[in-house]
Amino acid sequence: MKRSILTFILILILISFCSISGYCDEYDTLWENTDEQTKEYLTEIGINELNFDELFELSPTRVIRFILNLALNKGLNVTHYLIKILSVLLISAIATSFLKENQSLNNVVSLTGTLIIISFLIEPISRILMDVTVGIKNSAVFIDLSLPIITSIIIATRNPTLALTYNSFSIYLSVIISTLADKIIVPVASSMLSFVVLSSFSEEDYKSKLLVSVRKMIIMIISFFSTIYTGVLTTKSILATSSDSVTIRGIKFISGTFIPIVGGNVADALSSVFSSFIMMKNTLGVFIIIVIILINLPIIIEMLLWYFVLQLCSIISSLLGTRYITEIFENFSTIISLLNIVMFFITFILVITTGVVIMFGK
Amino acid sequence: MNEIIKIAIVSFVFVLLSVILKQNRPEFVFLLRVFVVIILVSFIIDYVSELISKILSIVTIFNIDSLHISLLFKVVGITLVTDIITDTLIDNGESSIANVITFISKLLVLFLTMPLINGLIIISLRFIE
Repeated sequence: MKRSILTFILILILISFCSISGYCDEYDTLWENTDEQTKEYLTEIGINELNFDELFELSPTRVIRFILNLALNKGLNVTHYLIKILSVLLISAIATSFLKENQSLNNVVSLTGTLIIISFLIEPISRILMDVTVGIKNSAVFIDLSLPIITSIIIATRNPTLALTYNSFSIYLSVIISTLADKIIVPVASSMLSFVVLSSFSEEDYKSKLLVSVRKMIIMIISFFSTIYTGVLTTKSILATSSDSVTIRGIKFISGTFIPIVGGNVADALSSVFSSFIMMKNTLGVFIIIVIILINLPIIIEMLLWYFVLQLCSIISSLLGTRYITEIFENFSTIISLLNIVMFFITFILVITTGVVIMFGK
Repeated sequence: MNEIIKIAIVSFVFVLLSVILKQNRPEFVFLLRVFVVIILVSFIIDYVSELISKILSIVTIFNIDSLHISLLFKVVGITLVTDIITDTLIDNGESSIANVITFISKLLVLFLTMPLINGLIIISLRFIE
């Protein structure tokens, strides 16, 4: 009885030293700094604040309903454009069918249709480009915000090497992602867009091949980079965890051996405190993953819808025999798929980085 | 349905008259041809205007920018009229004038689509910047 009371008091003392309440304040700060749109999405899936219970009670039905609602809302906007495009496509196809024998006039109508369709598409696609940039930057900003909190909690779980690994990887990652958004994605996608728009008057079909080659090249670079990154991160995390586990065992051994009478209880109390910190770390990690997915998911869904719409328009256009317009749809869908791949890659890398930290570090 | 019967009758009469005129007064065949084209177009002009107003009403229902659709209609109208004129001219051996008319119609289309082209070039340059 006496030993139990002593253990309980020791746990209380250790908890007060480790200041769990301080971390709870940090949780609130992180919640407050999450952008309003993401907060709305979090509320929709049933997370009203950052704590273990809210995350644990996350229902798959609510998540699926949220995704369906999101797709429906984005789909309505995309359908509006689809109707606009189809109406121009049909009028052009009917007019060109009247002018089958006069190829030069046929081309004039076809090119006018192409111009009008480009003017319809340019606004939503440039908006998507901006959304992609903002999404990537928001993800990087959120990682920057959460980094000190999760690093300090990882250190509190007596995993300093893992914390160092995560810290250095995340800092590099957020810098790389921000640079990627500003210096590579926006210029490349903008150049591709302007190239597609300006070359839409050309009869040669070399541009679609060029765009496909650029997309293949970027996919290859991204695959290579993500493989290397994931490999290095996992290896370093395994090594860091094994190094930290030696330290933790050492602390338990020292307290169990050298503290007289209550040494074993101190070791047990330490285990309890570490477990509570691990729970905090995992809760925060899961929250970071959810927020990153919620920042990027609406843009990914919108781009997927646009990709399907452009592919559908391309099929209809090729059935109607309007060659110029078919090429435009194919080229725009290539740009959209490229942006989607980049978005998927960034979300994947951020989720993997946080996921590895949750998995390792016992 | 009535219109197609009227068109068939006019076409039949035109063929008969043109055969007779080609033998006696070939210089009037061209005038007859133009006259028949005008009559045929007058038969369907009401249908075309009704068709355009129906399409425009659909455009309004779906909240589509009518500026673009009306531009497309103008271009389609110009090209169809040019097609009819050039066919008639080529049939009468005036292919050089037919080519000039085709060129003029292309210029007209370019003039109509110029604001659109200008806007797209500005957007493209903004992207490059």
